[in-house]
Amino acid sequence: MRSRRFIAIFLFMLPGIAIFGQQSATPPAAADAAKASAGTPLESAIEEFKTITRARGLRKDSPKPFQAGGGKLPQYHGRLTYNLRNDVFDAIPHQIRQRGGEASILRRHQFGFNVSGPVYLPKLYNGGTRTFFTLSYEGVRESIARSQLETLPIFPERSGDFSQTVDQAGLPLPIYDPATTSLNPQFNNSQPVTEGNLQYNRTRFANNRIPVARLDPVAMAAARYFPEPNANAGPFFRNNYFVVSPERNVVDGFTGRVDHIFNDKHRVSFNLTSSDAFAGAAKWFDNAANPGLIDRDESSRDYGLQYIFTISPETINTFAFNASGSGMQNVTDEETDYPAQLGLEGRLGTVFPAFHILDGYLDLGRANVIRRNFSHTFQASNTFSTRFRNHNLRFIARAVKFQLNTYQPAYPSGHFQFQSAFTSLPGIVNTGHAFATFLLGQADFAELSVIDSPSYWRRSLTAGRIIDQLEVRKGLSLTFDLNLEHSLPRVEKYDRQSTVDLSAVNPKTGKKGALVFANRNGYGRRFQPALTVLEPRVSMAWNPTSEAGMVVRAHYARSYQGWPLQWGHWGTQGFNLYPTFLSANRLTEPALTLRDGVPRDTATGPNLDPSAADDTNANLMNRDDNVSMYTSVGMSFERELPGHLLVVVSGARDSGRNVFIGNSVTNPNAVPLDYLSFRDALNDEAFVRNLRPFSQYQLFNLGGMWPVARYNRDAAAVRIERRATAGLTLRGSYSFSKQMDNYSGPTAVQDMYNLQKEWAVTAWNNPHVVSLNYAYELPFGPNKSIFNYSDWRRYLVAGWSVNGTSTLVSGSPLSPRASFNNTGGVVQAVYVNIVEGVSPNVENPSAELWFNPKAFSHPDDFTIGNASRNLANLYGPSRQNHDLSVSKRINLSTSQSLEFTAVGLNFLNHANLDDPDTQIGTAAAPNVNAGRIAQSVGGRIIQVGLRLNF
Amino acid sequence: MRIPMRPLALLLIALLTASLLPAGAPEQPAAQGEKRKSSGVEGKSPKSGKQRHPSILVPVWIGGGAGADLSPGSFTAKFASAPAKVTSVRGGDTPLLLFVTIDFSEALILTEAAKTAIVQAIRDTKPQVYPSLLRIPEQPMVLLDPSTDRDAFAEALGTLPMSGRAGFFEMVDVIAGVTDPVMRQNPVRAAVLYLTDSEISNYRQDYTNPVINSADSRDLSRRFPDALIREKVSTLTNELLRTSVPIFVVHLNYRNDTLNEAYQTGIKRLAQATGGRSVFCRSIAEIPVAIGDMVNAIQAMDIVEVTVPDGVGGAVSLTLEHPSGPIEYRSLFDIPK
Repeated sequence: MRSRRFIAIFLFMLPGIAIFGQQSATPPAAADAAKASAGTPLESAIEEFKTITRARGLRKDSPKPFQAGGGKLPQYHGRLTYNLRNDVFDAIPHQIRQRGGEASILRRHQFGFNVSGPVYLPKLYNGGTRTFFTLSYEGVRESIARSQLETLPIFPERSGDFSQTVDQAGLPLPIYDPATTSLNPQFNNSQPVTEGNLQYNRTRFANNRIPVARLDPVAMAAARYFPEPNANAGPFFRNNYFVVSPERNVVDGFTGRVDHIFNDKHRVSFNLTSSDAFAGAAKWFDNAANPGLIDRDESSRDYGLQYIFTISPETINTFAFNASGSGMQNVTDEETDYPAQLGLEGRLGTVFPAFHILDGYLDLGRANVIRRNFSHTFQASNTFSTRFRNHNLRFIARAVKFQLNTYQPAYPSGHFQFQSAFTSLPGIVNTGHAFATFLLGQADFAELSVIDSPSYWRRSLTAGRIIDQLEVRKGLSLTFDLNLEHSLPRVEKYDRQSTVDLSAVNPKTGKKGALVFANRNGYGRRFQPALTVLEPRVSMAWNPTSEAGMVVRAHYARSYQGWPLQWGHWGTQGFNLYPTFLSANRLTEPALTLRDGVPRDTATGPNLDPSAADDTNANLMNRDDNVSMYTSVGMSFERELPGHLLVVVSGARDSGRNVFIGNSVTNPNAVPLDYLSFRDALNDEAFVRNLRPFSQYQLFNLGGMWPVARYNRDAAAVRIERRATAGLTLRGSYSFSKQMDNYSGPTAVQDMYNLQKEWAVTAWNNPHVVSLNYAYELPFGPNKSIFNYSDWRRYLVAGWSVNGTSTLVSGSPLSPRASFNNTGGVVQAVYVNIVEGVSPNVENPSAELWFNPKAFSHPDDFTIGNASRNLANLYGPSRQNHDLSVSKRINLSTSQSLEFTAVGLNFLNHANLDDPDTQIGTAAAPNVNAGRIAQSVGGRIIQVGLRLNF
Repeated sequence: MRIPMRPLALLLIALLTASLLPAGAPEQPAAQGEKRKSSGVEGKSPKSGKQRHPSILVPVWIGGGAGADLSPGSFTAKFASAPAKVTSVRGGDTPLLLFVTIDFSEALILTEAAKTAIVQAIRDTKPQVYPSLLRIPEQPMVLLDPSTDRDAFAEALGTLPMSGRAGFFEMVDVIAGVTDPVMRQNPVRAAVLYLTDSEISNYRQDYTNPVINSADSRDLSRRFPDALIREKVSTLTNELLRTSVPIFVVHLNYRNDTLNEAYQTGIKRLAQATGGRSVFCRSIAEIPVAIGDMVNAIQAMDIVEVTVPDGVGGAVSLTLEHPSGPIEYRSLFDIPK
């Protein structure tokens, strides 16, 4: 019933669409009368102008106000669109062809409409010239294949047979029995551990096979969730699983806006946007142990209101209110008790546990299987703009409130980590295997997430801003922009917030460093200080000559980042618990064994004891007022040249100081690298604990908000534009940039206590970028130089246009890393050593050999590499992309047209090489793949579309 | 909240059907001056009303200084290979109706500079110039009829509200439509000068095709986001090729994002199609220069009347020559057959 009424209203409106362009409001008799009464030709012309504009509604004395189209009924404009993608149009992606694949499923339907015009409700309301709306809808139905090349355990390994397992050099990899571990009485602790000077003796499994009786039943049950290997990309057994999995997405959304004009001085605008999506993830495993993405529901809403009051021609006040929200939750099977099915005991959740197997194999399970997150932002602002002498002033007041409601227990059923050490010859790298350790069920680290309730994070800010645009003199204008912002750090709605106070005494240990809780024991609701920052920006525009078309610009700006809100439960320890199980000795004693389950005596409820975070990666907030600061200074020169050319030359330096960063770069509880001299003793947890500044904790979890990162970016660019002449528009640009920082890269930094030493070229810095954009209306058809037909053939030849964009980007710096990390866990990532006198660059870089791995060597045990974090003299392959759009427009009437478009992404079907393998092995176990590129990626994608404009 | 798919689908069908319906009958008979009927072509003499061959009015800039021969016989005209006759020339002594059209919606600093500059430029014009003032944003309105009263112009401009939705795209054909018959029916020169600071996302109608579904990460339909702007420009170009009054545009605020680049290119094309010019100011200092230069260019414009030979119609290209050397003129027209 509602649908019928809905249609009826719109059908009433349809004549307005149909008669567009055909109506007139100027009575010819009136025009003739006007002419008759006029005297001279000039008076006649003016009188005619008055008559026509009066009839058209363009004068105050017009009988009716102006209405587009001139008719009695409103006129609507808009479009209907449909876009189609199907893999039959596309090239087979290179990465799939290289694995022998023949197709990559892609079905995508995108459809929608837009309509805009006056609001007109028959017999109820005629918006006429006062109330206008625009409404758009867009829907997507999509199925798309995602591919991934990974490594799984081979079949013999799954039953404990490691006789075929080889190291990265292709040599047999020995597996040792941890049950045979014993102290070596002949060990000389003044010498490094070597095969000739072992600290522990351990016997190798016979035939490199683990006896069936020794296999952990929980691990074996979990291992059955691994799919079968199906590829042999290599080297050896690596890269043996190529998954092409469909991702299915359903998206619907609409956006609308209503403008209403009360009179010349008052107008109001209301807008809303709504979008709902089901994102069906491409799963790596088609079972509960899938370590890849999870299906999820997403939604977003945005509502805005704007009221503009024109106080005088020189003074305007604008009030705006905006409310927006977004939500995302995983679609998860929480009914099946997977730990029980695996035989894993303990106070666990129901989702599949996360088994993290080092040595490059895919994990089983993953973090954050359960996730329900919602955010809301409310913002009110008022802008008062006025002019005073040669000052143009804007005063802006703003208040914002942020809300984040989040529930995402990372590991409700446990996280269990396995490494090769327990099945190695203790202290000897390139022995043992993480999967063998997994089969024995011996985790070196385990943790649980016991999250009792969602966290409700809140934060707010208020700001006042003054902008003065000042005409200093003819040809020179300055803009001063000063923003004063006062922001309050986060608070949890129910005060379920905590942090480690490094100055508080821990009653359990008597040492400094204790967990403290919001709104308790003299601590406020907020742990971080309120911030008041002044953000200046000054810019200049100067015309050095009296002629137009030449401008010099310069700017300086400084800004700060307030405390951000983040998803999850960081900073709630005590209210939420993270029982953690550590290995007493990284070589000999597992944290727990799967068959024994997770100890049940762990706390399950809130524990608001100052020692509740002991032995964990404790959550630590930065509580001083150091926040990220960004500075930008730049200059540009613009010059118009003959031939519709514009040249812009620019240069800029951007820098960041105290940029928020997380555990991969810094940690106040890291073991200083000087202690690497203790060598093998660092494998002992009790020993290494005393080397940490706060021995009651493992590392600190900084939540990504520790203000120690910094960067500098210097860039110069040249842009040349050629504005439309003869239907051709061109825009080309070249930019060169150099960015340095102390944090970026594929792994954690090596020396957290010496970030100055980590200063290196940024991992994602592409120094050279060239781009070209073009649009060309083909000179075919009437009024054009080619095929100047005016008969029926004009419908075929006219209305063609081509749009394109091409981008060439030079490679990014490579970051070689050591294959083995035998530092007792003190260093998170070990860089390589530089071999003096050997260039890392090869003469003709190719996928077979992109760089010379002999230019690098593997550091010795318990030492770090001397190479830079990212190498400024060794870059990965460059990339290029060329997109093209061809469209044909057919005019159906003066107001209606049909446009067919074909868009080709990567239309040249160019294959871009991946970065090479940068793992550098030891002399005894070199990585045979080092310097080589495993695959190239990319493939032409075509989308065809139809749009009806009305 | 889930989207009500069924009503939306029905609405889609309704709109599709409606858009394909044949146009309905007009409510009233069209006036001679109405834009839909206008063609930039005269069908009868302004003075005698006597029916004769149709003609077009061509804005022309002739070099050679004030002493150049502007007699009709000094011009040579042809449509492709068909010779045409120049029947009259409206030179510098002919009254010039200058329709200054304001489309301000954004920055006060720029609009104030433009207001000051246009007032000064109008004060500096020759007595033959009759400025008129129109505004576009919100409710389009004539604020001042053509007159020689420069003070009245300054006063009308001073009281003009300076905010609202952009309106150049939505009104350029309307303004062309109402000014076209004024020049066609009377022996005057006419030009429209737009002063605008408009930005493409500030229109009531949607030309930017903003992202609706942020979760849709593989949307290629916006890879070339200027398609709607190009479509609008094509439609307007076809409309303006049928009118005769040249359009001049001074845009106060050059922007270099993709969408506004396309928008500004579109403005340039529309001005070119009518034989007018456009300029885009990159700084406040350029505004007075640009406005002054544009008003001077308009004053220097002559209007040449060319008879359309039998058999010539539709989209045609005009070649016009003058013994003084290369001349600048409008070359494209859409002439009803």
